[in-house]
Amino acid sequence: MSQQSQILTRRLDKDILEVFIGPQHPGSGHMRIILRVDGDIIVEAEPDIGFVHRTMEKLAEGREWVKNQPLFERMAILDAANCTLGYIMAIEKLLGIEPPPRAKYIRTILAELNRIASHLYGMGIFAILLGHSTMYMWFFGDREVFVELAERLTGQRLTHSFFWPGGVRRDLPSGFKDELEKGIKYFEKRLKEYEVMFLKNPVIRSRLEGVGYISRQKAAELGIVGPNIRASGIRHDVRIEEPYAAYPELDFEVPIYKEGDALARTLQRVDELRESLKILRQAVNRIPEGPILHERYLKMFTKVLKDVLETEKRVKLAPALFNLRPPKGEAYARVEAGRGEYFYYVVSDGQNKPYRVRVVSPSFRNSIVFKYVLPGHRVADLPAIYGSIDYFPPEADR
Amino acid sequence: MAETTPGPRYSERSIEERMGLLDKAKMHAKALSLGMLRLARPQRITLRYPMERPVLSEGYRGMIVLNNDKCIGCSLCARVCPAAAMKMFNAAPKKLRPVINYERCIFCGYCVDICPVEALYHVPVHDLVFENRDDMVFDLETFTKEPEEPEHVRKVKVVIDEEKGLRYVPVDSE
Repeated sequence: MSQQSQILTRRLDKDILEVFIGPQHPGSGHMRIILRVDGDIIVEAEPDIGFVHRTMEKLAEGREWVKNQPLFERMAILDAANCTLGYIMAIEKLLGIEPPPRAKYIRTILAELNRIASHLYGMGIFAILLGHSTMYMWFFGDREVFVELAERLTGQRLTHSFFWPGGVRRDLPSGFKDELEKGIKYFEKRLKEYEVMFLKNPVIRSRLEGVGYISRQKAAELGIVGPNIRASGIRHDVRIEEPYAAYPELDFEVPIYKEGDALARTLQRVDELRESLKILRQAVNRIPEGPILHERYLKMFTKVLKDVLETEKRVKLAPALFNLRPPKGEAYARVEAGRGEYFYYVVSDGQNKPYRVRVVSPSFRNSIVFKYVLPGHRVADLPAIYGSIDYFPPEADR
Repeated sequence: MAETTPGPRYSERSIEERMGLLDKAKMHAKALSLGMLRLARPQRITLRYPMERPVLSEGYRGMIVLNNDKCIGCSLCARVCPAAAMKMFNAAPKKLRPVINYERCIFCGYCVDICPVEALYHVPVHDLVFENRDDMVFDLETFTKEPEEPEHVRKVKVVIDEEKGLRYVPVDSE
């Protein structure tokens, strides 16, 4: 056991029981929390992560640049576009290219579809952990609308693998705008029902109010990211701090809550859903015409590749993109994913495979929260806290 | 606070005060009545899956089929496959052809996208059943044939709907 930390509410002695929560699958992947409890009160908690570690950073060194996209996607399969976008952006920085505007807008649309789907997934798990199985079904059912939309855009429900360095793989399908508008209208109606059934439900309120409080200072100290830190009153969103894709051209708000408890984190996510709808609506209306791949690679297209692009609006993989040899150097990219900030640091030694890819995923940064927030709460509050953090083990373990 | 400057920005919000007893009673009643409403008029999107199947969207990245006549045996598909599902073999002397192992395939569609002659294409089928693992390794004959949809399956079209979210419209088989 490590040295006693200050958050102990009591010295460990023989009355303290050790309880292992996990490593079963609490709904989002395998992880274990080792609790030391005094009666019903948690006195110490240790998040024990690493059960779904897949050595992704090492694996990435043995594959060609574009081949790593389907690999990194598997960190957070429900947020696939956001977690691979950072990697692709880092490659683009190495190559010194910018995707054309239309590609940027399509990236934004897919990223926001993924953010909605990811938040709904997280809240669905949250609801079932709280024992609210109706909301679980509703969140997961409504997620299906956005998964369906993503499927129409990319051709795959979850593992989109949608980006090429310098562009995207497909153009918007015909009629996508109307379908998206229908989906948004439907979801806006549903958000009102969520309010009645979940957010303002007195049972849910009493389980969330004041539970799992993270102060502004503690949040900054622990370095947590994403909706969790914004619910503690810290202004941090990569979409604003270091704008990418089409975000700087769109008009939206990033909600900030000061309360820092589980309820604030829940409301934070629901407010972000609303903003995502706003972004989607603007992006799909303002999307400019033009190419969807950087001209450097479009020039290398053979006749067959050009024909496919024109008739099927599908960007084929030019061999030049597959045999990519970015110049020697290093680059980083940051992306705001559903759970927070993804950070990619990429080193190239001029070969067709990356020399090093470092990934810092948001769930990894958030996992430390359990150690500092759980002590002092009852064991029955654990599901509420776990769910409200929206922790996703495969993303943390990589 | 009421600035309307376009562009991304932060907005501070706060939770309204704790609910009083009366509010609580009201919200309980509202939640119950919404529950009753959804009991009477359910928002169901369940699909009776094996018997009912959705028509997959255009451009769906389903199973992959080889057009043997177009193939030039360049082995780019086998090289690009991130899961090493595709392998080249000698179909005849100096005639390389790809075969696929569906135990490994992740349906990323890289092989279809890299093919310089469009010899590979996706078909809107993704749920074949295999009796044993050896069957999942396709040989050239099975790889060039489009997989068949099982019989007695009702096809439904998935429509995004403002009221119900997703609606399934039966497609009458001809």
